[in-house]
Amino acid sequence: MNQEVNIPCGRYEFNQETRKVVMQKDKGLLNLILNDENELWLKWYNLDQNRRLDFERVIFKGTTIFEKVKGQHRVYLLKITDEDSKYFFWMQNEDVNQDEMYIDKFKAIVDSQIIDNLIEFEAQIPLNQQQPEFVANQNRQFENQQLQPLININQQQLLELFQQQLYRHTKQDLSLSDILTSEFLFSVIQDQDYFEALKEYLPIDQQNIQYFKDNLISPQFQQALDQLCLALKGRERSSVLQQLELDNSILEKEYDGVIAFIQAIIKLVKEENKNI
Amino acid sequence: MQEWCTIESDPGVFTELINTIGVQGVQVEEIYDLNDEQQMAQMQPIYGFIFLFRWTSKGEKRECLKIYDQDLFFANQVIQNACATQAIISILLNCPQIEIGEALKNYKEFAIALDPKERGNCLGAVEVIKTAHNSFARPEPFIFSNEKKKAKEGDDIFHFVSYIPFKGKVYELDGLQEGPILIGEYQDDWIVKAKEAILKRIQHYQEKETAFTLLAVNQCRKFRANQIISQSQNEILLTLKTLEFIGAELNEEQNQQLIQLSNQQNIEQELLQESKEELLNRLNLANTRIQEAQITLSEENAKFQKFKEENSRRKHNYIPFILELFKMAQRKGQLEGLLEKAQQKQQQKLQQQQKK
Repeated sequence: MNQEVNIPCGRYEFNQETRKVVMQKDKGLLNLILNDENELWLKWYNLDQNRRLDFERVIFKGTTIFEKVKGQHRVYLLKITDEDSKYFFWMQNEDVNQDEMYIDKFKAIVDSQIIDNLIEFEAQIPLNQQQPEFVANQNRQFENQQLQPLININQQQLLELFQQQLYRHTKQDLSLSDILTSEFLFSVIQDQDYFEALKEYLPIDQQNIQYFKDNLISPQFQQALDQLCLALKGRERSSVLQQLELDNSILEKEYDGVIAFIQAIIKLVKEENKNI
Repeated sequence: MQEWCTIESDPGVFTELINTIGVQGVQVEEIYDLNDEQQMAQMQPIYGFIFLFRWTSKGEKRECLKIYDQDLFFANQVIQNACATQAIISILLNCPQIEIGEALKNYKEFAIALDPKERGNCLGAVEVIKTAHNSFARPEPFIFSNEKKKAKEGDDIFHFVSYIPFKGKVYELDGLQEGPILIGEYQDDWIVKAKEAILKRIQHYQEKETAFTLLAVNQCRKFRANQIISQSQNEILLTLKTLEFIGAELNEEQNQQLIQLSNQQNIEQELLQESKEELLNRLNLANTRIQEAQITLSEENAKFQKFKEENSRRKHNYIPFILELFKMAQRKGQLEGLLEKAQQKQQQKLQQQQKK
């Protein structure tokens, strides 16, 4: 289940020429969500411009600080320590007393991100030498790729999270239902070869042609398809492929679990044909 | 100890569950409109209602009875995921007209001497009930190493409460409350009283846009139809015998019916008081009742067959089926094409979204 907070606040924008942050008057909403994939997404919507998404990035527990700027009335600073990035916001909710409540909730959600086996990170993260375009675009001020010491993020998990973000933004997020279209299932229902191959896998009291169609259009079949899809999209997709006796090494080249599943099946059947 | 699993809130599931634990002649039906007199009439007799609503941690505190009729069986819900089964059992154990079977009889006899919390605990030890409940758990084909997620606010968890008539009063039985809640007294029709309370609750949840469902635990319509057929056949037999006795000429169909139905020798004295016309009328009415009951029986048989098929699918693990389906698609040279098509479609969708 997602955890989410929406904070009514405006933004400051950094002026490159004057090297100063300037308050923008537009009404806005800062949205932080920790989704089911354990990703922390931060977005700022411009409410005066039809809720336009002006700002979007991912953040991480351990490198995110959100605190009040001393000496400034209702101005808060969001700092990303591993990039030395800073974002300023000014609170717009009517009740001043609620400011800290919002910040506490923000922090609580960030703290909820699961990062196992925290280790001290002293060297540069050994990602590809070319940083994914998505990350580079998010912050043009990010020049120094030297990471600060004492950042407690597990390298492998960080890599995985980056891969996930990159995938989401550049590739399709296919589900098994996208592949097994209604048109295709309709053709399967009418195909005797499919029935002969599949009947033994139907419920024991429904292994005849009359029930074949009923099973393929049943909500229980769809639920199982969704369950499998969810498992293939999850962190343990490698284990899922193994449990299905499919080649999980495909995941080394194909990040998406659904596509890896399809490729593994293609490979398996091709090998079956070779052995015949 | 094996846990109690979550099961689907479906009338077919609950009906089969009840039958599996040994209860005779009872079914569960969904009520779409409490004000639909026709539907309510067809469901009679109704033994109790079950109201399902989405649970929140900010549960309402209701005024419960601390002292109540000792024959009223109330148990606290202490077993996780058992609230549906427990709500149904609350109705069954408080309805003397129902033949509850050995398992529930034994449980009631043992638990009646215990306090509500202990009664709830003991329910967990009734293997027949737990096994029947867990038989409806959805197959979990994958086992992951991470811990189970705890339910949080906003997750889809439903709570079940029962409404029953008991010795002239209507009660709400909620296993999460301290005791039964008295809704009010009734004279002839307890449903009127229960309806008021339920409609109030429905209104409350509609305002909060919270999902809810209402079920009735009622006499199995098949059972009732069979009873009507049996009683009507008996009546036809006696009427025909009487007609024969008074010297009325029976037509061929009536003669056939007489032969089919009878070895009975006695003639009801009161039937002898009726005229030939009255007896023929009685015959027609009985035949009509049989026809209507047979239609009901046919519909109910179809419904129960559907329940059986759906329940079979609920318990089935479809993963091997799905795997084989994909393999067949590849053997038939279709899978790569399907993947490509799906990817193209997604790509188009992504491009459209980016344009926006």
